[in-house]
Amino acid sequence: MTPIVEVRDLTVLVGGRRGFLVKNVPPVRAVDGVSVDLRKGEILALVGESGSGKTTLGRTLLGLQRETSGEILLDGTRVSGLAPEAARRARRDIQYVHQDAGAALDPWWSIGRTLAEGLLIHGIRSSAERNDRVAEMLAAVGLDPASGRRYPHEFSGGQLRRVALARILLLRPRVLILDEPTSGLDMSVQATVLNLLLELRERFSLTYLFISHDLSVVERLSDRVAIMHLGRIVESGETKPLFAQPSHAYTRALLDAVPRLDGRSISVGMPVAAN
Amino acid sequence: MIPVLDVRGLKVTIRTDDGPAEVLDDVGLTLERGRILGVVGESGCGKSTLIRAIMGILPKAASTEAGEIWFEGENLLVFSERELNAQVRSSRIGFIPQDPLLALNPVFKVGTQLLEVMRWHAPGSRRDHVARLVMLLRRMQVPDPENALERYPHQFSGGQRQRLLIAAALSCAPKLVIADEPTTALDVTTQHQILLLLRELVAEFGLSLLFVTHDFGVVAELCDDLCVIYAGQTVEAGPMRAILQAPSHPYTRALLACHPDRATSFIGIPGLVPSPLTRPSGCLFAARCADVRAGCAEARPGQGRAASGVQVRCVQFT
Repeated sequence: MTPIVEVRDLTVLVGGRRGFLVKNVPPVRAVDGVSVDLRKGEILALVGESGSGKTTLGRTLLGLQRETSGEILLDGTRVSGLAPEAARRARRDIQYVHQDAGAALDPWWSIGRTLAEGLLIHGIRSSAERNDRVAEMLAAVGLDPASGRRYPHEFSGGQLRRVALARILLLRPRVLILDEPTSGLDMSVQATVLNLLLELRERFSLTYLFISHDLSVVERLSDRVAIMHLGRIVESGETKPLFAQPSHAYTRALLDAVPRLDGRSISVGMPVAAN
Repeated sequence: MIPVLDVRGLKVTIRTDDGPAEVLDDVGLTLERGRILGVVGESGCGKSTLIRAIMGILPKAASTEAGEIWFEGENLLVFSERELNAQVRSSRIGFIPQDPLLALNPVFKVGTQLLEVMRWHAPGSRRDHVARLVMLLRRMQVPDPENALERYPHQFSGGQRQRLLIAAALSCAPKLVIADEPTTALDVTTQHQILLLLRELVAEFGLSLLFVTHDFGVVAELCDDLCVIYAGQTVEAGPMRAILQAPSHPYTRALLACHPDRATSFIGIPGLVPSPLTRPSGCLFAARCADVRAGCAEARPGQGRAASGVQVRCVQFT
């Protein structure tokens, strides 16, 4: 399979301050020499704890965060080393679905208006065409096409995730960065959202970078997994073999911590490590 | 032996502009001494209202229409506000909140906040209180417990903050601890450590734990007993292992089938929890049930028993 996005030895330094009268603050190596391929049509899961650099990696791919060194290739064309605005333009095919769908929508704007705004920015002048495409996309994500008149507070958590997906899909991306798309949802709703993600991947030939720390979802959904720890990818590979036989100690620790339905229970006397 | 907590037929209605909302309709649960009871259900099923009812902190518009809440042999519903404060809250029932950052005031030192609770609810002098807190923080494996009381909430990580609040819940030596999804905001590895810690504390401090969650995986790791709530009703209750191995109620079965460990495909449960304003006259789950039968929409089923002895509210078992 041809890679759609290639990342070569990417390093991102965040923060830091050269002090004149105050002391120097060294920057943090949020992403530290990461190389990873995203193959066309696959779901690659990026797993790690908070602070491991997975969100920074996602933001850098989008072009919101400038890389310090390393290369990003989109369809074999180099899109790194550009100024933020140029980088964002070059990477229009890569879009981001926000973790908190409710917070990403303006409460005073109807869903239809929010969705149409993206189309307007992307140069669709006819309002009839915008409305048609919004209605069509709302139907595609399993919402009533007429719900464009409604406001964010009238939707449930699961429906808001659908709105967020519709909003991004209107821009016809080819790569979606999904940041914890099911966090905070009930199990019953989570399942329907995951199902929708699989459906949309087929229908719009999408490739997903799935950022998550919910390993049971990752195990079921993703084709490949990359485990991130302290800015580095410590292990990556096909999901099934990696979950069956993790080789890195950190991956094993992560997998052991997942609560399992049919596994062991915690017994008293097991050692507790301080965090 | 009498159970630590025994809730029977609890019915709570909240007045709203659109008429009365039956948030809890018929909730019953039993927490035996020294055990961990998991309360599971989707959002909007009444889990939070149940916790508030037990602690007597329901909103003003809410009224308890029926039922009993027996705590160590006393019916909490006959207690006045003053008696609850003096004899029950914090001193005998501890609470661990969902979001440790929201529960701590950012502008006060941790020690000031935790000692405030003890000043009202724990016997002894301030010096005793400090000694007990330091002992608890050490047990919770908070780094540098002696100086932790002088620090501010932002100086702790998410997992450490949750450890501080567990220490706060235990500070007045309660018999019952109620935890409201205490690990949802945490990473899996931190969650695992907190669950291990809770397990140990239950044995060590002679606690009984009421653990509210929507994650069946956490229930499977931590709990001894399980109570599944749907639309303000207990639909299945019994030993955790028995229910997870052979769930009887269609709702429990559907919920378990949504868990990635068991799911064959990602279907979820179609439909929504019925609104507390307009509850159907028949079985509350009938509209979403995969195994719905002829009489289901007409009459509400009563409590029955499955072959395993588990309580089930479904016509198939009555």
